[in-house]
Amino acid sequence: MALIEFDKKLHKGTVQNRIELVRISNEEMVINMGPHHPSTHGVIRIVLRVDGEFISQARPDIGYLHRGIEKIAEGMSYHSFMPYTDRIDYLAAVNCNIGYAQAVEDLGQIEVPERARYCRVITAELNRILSHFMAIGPIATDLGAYTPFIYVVREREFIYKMMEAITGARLTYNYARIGGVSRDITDEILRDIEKYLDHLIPFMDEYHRLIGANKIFIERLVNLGVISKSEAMSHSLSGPNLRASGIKHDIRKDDPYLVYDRLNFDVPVGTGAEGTIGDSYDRYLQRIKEILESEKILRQAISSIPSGETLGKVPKRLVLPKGEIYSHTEAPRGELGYYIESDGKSDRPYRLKIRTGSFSSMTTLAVKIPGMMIADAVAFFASLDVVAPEIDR
Amino acid sequence: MWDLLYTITFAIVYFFVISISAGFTTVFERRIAGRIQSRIGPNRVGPQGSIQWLADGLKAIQKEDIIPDSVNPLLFKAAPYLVFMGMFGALVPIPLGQFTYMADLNVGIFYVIASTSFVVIGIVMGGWSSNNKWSLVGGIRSAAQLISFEIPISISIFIVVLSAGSLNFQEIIKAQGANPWDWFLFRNPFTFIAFIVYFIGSLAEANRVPFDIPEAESELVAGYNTEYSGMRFLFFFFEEFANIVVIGAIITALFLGGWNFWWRLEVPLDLPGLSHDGRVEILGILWYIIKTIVLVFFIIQIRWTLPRLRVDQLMNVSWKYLTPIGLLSALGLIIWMYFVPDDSFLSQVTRISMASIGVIIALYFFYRVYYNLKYTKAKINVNPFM
Amino acid sequence: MRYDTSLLEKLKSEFPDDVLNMEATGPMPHALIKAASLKRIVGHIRDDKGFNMKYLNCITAVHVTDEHEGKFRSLGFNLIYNFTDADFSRSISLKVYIEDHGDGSINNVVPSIDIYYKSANWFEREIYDLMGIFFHYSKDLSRILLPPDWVGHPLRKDYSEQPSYNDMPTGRSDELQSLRLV
Repeated sequence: MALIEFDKKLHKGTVQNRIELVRISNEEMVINMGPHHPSTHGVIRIVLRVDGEFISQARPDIGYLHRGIEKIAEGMSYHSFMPYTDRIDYLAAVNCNIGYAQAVEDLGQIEVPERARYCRVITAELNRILSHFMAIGPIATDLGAYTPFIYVVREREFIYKMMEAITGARLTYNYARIGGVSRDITDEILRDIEKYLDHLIPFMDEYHRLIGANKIFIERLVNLGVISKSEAMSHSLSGPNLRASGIKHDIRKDDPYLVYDRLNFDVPVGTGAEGTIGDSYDRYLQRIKEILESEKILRQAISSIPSGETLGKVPKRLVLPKGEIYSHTEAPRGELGYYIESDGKSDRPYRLKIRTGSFSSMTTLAVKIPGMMIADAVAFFASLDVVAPEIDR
Repeated sequence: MWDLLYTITFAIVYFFVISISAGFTTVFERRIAGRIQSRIGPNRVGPQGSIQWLADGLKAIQKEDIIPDSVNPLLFKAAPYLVFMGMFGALVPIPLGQFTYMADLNVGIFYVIASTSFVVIGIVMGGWSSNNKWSLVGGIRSAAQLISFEIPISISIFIVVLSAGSLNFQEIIKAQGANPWDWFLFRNPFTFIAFIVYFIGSLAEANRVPFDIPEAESELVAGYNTEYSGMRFLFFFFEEFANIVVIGAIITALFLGGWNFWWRLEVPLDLPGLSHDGRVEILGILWYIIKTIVLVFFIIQIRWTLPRLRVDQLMNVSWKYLTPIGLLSALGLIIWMYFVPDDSFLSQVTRISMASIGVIIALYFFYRVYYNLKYTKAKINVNPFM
Repeated sequence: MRYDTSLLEKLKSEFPDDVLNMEATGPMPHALIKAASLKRIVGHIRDDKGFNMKYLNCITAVHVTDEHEGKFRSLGFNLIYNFTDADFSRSISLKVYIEDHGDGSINNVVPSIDIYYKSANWFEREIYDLMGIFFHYSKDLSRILLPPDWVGHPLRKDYSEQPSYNDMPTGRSDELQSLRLV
């Protein structure tokens, strides 16, 4: 009995009630997708008002994974906050690490040695490949094809071995430090990475032939959830979602950081192959193209990595000068921005704000989902590639 | 009185036979799925994991019988039995050998289709009584899908029945021969089209990928069987795999020549009810089972390769593609049968040329498999017995 | 971020009364503007061809406090808006300062910009949820990360946790503490 009372109290004024207060027509039904759901990537709840199969209103309800990372940061020193950045986006942990390290280094004018920058680039690109694998696998799974996901998991195992050799962990690496990286990459590991890259391109070809060129897959994703250029800008999309809508913007090229200005790579854009520019199939293809670009970057970085130190001299009690900075990097899910404000006296941030790509991708749901069918909504949501910890922090 | 006892014993024996075959199919599927996905399937429980189904069944029986509070208890409990009943009765008229059948019904194929239609009622009952909006959506989708695919299936069966002249399974099989070009598959282009239509339609009837939206795991958790657990869930599960075996058996009987083999080996065996006429013809039974297993393998392989269709695309397949194609090929068959008698030279030529085209397609399939294996640089281990 | 200080000067010249201050030095050059004119200025920098700031990077809120003679004093809130232009070549930052009079009069001072940017609504909802700043004329301002019946705004510097939430104690229980296990 107590449990039912608890539920009633909780539901007053919640998302569900807000939709039900509006007059529901006789055939409509309020349905709840999540938080326990195999295909919302993480714990995300979307309340849908459906009429048979067609959705007439959608309202995402997030916050199930809110851990208060920003508040925690105000009580920790800059150095000891690094493991928390892993958990912002656990599938692309190194990118989150180096984004935070870069924000602190830019505010404090701290020099990073050359070799450390190359190490950061190499691990960041490997992590980008890992993350994009985990994006294209679940798209297939949400559509009913379970085999491509297992292939993707198998490929990730190869990269896990290399990342474990470099950093010591398989998923949350805690690799970057303020002023450099924690461990060096030995030559043996670099040769292993090159050998893996030889295997990667034929695998991508095989994967695309298995599921990407499959007629049923294409029919399910084409012309679904088309996000036009102006809509993508207005929704503050970033990363592969933005590029799939036709806008050629990559922070590694437009606002280069680390050594990306010395590396030679393209920025692939969605071209509307098989459908319109900015549909879900374009977002899927975009990630495949970006894996191929990451392979190019990795080869160049491995061949031109200099020798030297991997960690600059940074005081243990690091006090940043008074001021504020907003610094952003290109994470696999979009623009990862760190806003740090320091009050010049303590070794803790006064305010740390994290801006993630998945948060702004979620704003497209309430606009795009109405009108789709439930199965389409699942496919569209999978193509956006959000992870719950990035949204909730 | 003895007749009744006899029938009941016979039904129990039949129950075991179909359970074991459905259970074995689950293990077969899991092993094939594992090998496709570059992993091993279950291989610990028996030799190569062959009695895994027994372990699963024993585990499920021991589970707590959870019935949610707000369900409709009678419908909730009755739904698994209805789907089970539908499948249970379907194998009765299907003959494994010339003298091996449960009952030689002269409405054989019609009875099978009617029996498998019970599944619709069971699924809708399960979905509705679960008091769960997602299960309801799954149940309704399934009802729509199953009844709309009954029509192309019936049209294909109509084509076969016309070619054979009878609804009786034995007659249909006897109208074919042992040679591939004597099968109904290659008899004329219209029966070939009927085979394709029947195959796709029966995949939809069995709720298999690419038509498995009623139990779409990633959308509806588990669709109409979300609220079921333990043995009740296993009944639904059992029904799906029994359906695959039934499909394999029916297609073999209708299109692939059934138990016809070039040589005969008769063993005098007088198992009442299982061997009529006092003998059992072994080679025919083995050949039938081999053909069924090949079809089951093919169905399983399709499941683990293709994504699923959306519900309106699925309806389009049935109403806009399969039904018109089926009707047109039925018309074509009637015209063909009127002008070309069965033993004429033109009919022979058609059969042999279609059979050779079929063999060429099969060889091309194997060539593509070989080519893919050679081209991919991943280390592939083709040993299925790991 | 490619900050262009000439943009700040251009803004100052076009809105001389509304731009209160210009910080052109430092890692994040920004312009401090009046809260009431936020909507007008944002509309201008989005549509004007000289600015063309079609991309909203982030909206951030900072709780400005003061430690005065050992006593904690809450001064106000800073809202920082980061924009980038449509070619992603230049960026601009706007800062809005709202005073906290301690009696709830911080509400209804800042207008919402969600008619200009579709993503602004969620940023503003997060700021309302965690900081308590109410955005005027927003189309939907409700708690986004925390449950709707949560009391308090956690990111404020003077936030203290409610002792129980829906009859669940939020602190550590006394028994465990007495066992010295926590």
